Amino acid sequence: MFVLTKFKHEVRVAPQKLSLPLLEALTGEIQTLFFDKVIKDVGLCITLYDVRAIEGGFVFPGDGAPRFTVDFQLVMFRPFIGEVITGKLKRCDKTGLYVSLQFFEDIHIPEHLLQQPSVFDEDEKLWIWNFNGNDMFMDLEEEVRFRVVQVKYPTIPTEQDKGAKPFAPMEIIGDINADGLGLVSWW
Amino acid sequence: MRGTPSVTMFTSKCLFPQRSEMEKRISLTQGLEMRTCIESNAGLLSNFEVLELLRQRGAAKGPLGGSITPSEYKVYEYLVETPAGTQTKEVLQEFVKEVKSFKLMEAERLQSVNLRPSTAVEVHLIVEDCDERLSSEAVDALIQTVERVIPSPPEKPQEEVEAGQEEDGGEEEEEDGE
Repeated sequence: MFVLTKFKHEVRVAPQKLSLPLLEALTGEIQTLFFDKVIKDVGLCITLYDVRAIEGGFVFPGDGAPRFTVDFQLVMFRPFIGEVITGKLKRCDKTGLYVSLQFFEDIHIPEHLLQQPSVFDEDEKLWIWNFNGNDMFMDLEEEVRFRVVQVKYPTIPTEQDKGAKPFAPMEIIGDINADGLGLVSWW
Repeated sequence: MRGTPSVTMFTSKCLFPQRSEMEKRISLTQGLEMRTCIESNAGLLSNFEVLELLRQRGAAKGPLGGSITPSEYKVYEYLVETPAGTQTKEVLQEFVKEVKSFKLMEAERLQSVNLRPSTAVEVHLIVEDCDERLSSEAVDALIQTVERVIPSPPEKPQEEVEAGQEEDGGEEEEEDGE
């Protein structure tokens, strides 16, 4: 689920931060720059693992702040393909299920990757897995175990409709069509 | 100090830079946008390792008490409820030693630490080609090892949890119906 990633980045330390110990000031800058942000093809940044090297500290003309080249490692959320994760079922509609990990919400389990045969109940607005004649409801707020099929990084749209849902920079496609997957309470 | 770039910047020459110096400065400003990811995969981390890291940053005090950001606290909240919540470094070291005999791949070991499989179905999910690689006795032995070494996750008794969730689910349904 979590991966270490090495970065090298030129960090500008604002003058008012220079009274702090250098490492603390740089950590603060890295925090505002990277934390809770998605970097394309690298994942969602969770936290700082360590700072390996600090170089430089040059002040360029016309700019009253030093810049340091910092070599550091970040903890990224980037599940590998085939990884099994448990989350909570947040929402469902005709296109499938939406699962949340609390810190990451853009997980979609499309209709064709649900257990076969599954049907969408229009009255209850829930998905039902018909297992040997038994109706198994996929209730909201239940724990769901799914397998990661694909991690997508959609390109940022230039135009968006008014009613469109907010843009998700990272999306995970999940699969629950196998033994042991689906609601945790089933197994 | 004489001759270093930082000194020449403050001399009068800097106001009317010659061509070579100008070029040097352009290359420096281009460097400002540098955000290079040198190695996108420097190693996998288990849920426990991330949790421990967040604890060191003061996650237990909550998002306002420690030096932790709200986004980190959400990750902490999620991880505390997973099996990682009760694990310790010693437990993981012993587990890695004990499962060597099963010849699992790194990702499979990581998954068994993160998910703590307690049934054969879960082991089959985690281990690829489980039927060919592990006999049913080996699967049972693996489950026993997991249950012996890794402490059970921090949860209420199973029945209570399920009852609570069913109630929650019912309420949600009604809301959606309206």
